[in-house]
Amino acid sequence: MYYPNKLKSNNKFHPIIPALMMVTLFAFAAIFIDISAGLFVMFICFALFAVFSFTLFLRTHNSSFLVGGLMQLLFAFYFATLPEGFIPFPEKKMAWFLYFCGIVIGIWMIILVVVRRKNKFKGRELFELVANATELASDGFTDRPRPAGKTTYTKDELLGFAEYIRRNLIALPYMEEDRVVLVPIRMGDEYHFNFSPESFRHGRTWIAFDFQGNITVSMSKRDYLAYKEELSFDQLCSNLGKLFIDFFELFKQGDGIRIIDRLNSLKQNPITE
Amino acid sequence: MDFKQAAILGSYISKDYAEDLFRLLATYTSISASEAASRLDLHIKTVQDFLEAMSDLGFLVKEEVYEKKRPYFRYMLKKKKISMDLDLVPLFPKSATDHRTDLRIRERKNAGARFTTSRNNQYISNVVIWIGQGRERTERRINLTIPQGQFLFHLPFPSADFQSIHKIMEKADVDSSNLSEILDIVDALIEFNVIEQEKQI
Repeated sequence: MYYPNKLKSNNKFHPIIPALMMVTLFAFAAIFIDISAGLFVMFICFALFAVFSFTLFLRTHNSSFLVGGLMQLLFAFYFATLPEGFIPFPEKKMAWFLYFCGIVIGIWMIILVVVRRKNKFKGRELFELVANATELASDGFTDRPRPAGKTTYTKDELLGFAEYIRRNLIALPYMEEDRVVLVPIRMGDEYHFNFSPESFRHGRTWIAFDFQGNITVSMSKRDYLAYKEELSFDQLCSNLGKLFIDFFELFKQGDGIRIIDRLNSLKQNPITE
Repeated sequence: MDFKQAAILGSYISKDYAEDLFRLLATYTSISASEAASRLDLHIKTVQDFLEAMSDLGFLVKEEVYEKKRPYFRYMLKKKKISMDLDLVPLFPKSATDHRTDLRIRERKNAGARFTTSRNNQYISNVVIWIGQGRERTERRINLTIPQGQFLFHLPFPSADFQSIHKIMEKADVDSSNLSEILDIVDALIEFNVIEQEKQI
């Protein structure tokens, strides 16, 4: 099915900013000190990236970040064990084995990222789907949450759904006393979320499922303004609620994979969007 | 006695010199403001205002007298008993099945109001409205009852279709016995340009 993009395009440079910073630091260290210093900088950068990925894995339970973290750790190890590195490997066989592991994990990572879109934050797909059947209407924004309906589920089903949504990077669940709040996350938002998960949720769109079956939606101004056109705010909120109710129904029927298929069918760029 | 008269009586009767002034009025056949003021050691304007108010309410008789100087008023007690009978009936809403439940409303576009949800997030607990411009701008917070909060939680968004008050109350599960307070908050928010009503063609 063809969905015309209704969201403004993302900042396409955000994925390469850390890499650019790393290369710049490497160049400075290599030019002004020596190549060993440059390799040490690379080691530190990759080690930090690995820590970032492992933290993201702990927060999202998405295995692709574990694979990514392992790959980054091997890269860090690679730069440390080069002949000019600060712990050069005397054993060549051992070095080749580690490089081989790095290549295997790298290929695995490419498959996860590009083919299976496993580490793609799918907030953008959500907002595109929601806007698909929405009419144009100006000045509709309000910061009031909207009741989006009522459905039946058990607390365990809700917690299972929240975990599924988290693991597949559709939204991040926040457990409250009497409800679960799901906050959609888009590519580029992971830095804010990983560094400060509690402050991340403030001022963002959310969908709340309480333990009595009530569903409430609140769309942030930031997400509303991300659309190219002025869409009916009421319909956007209503559609967002309906979409999550549909997703929950699919999950309860054991067809969770259909949720992912539906989101992936929009074919958004797996790295930049 | 209407509300305005009751308010005047209440405010004067609550003064700590009120009993002393009535005692003087009961003791003297008639008394002027200056005589009463000098007797009680009060400012003449204070006593004059009190006597004028009581006279306007019909508890005193006021008589203009002319001596060699300029004319002045003497006051005489007209009643030995003052009773406050306040009619609250006009303040009640006309009827519970008010035709205004058919009024179709929604939130106004760019209303600029801030809605705060309750702790359980199933109703609005207060609405904050900004009144005035620039440095004169002030914040007006209206704390809501639970039925009012449930009603506003289900109020149609600015881009949604208008809905009747009756329908919104039904969706919000608000009992019809709460109609008068719902109509009150709707009226207040229409006045503050937070809610708009559908124009009749």
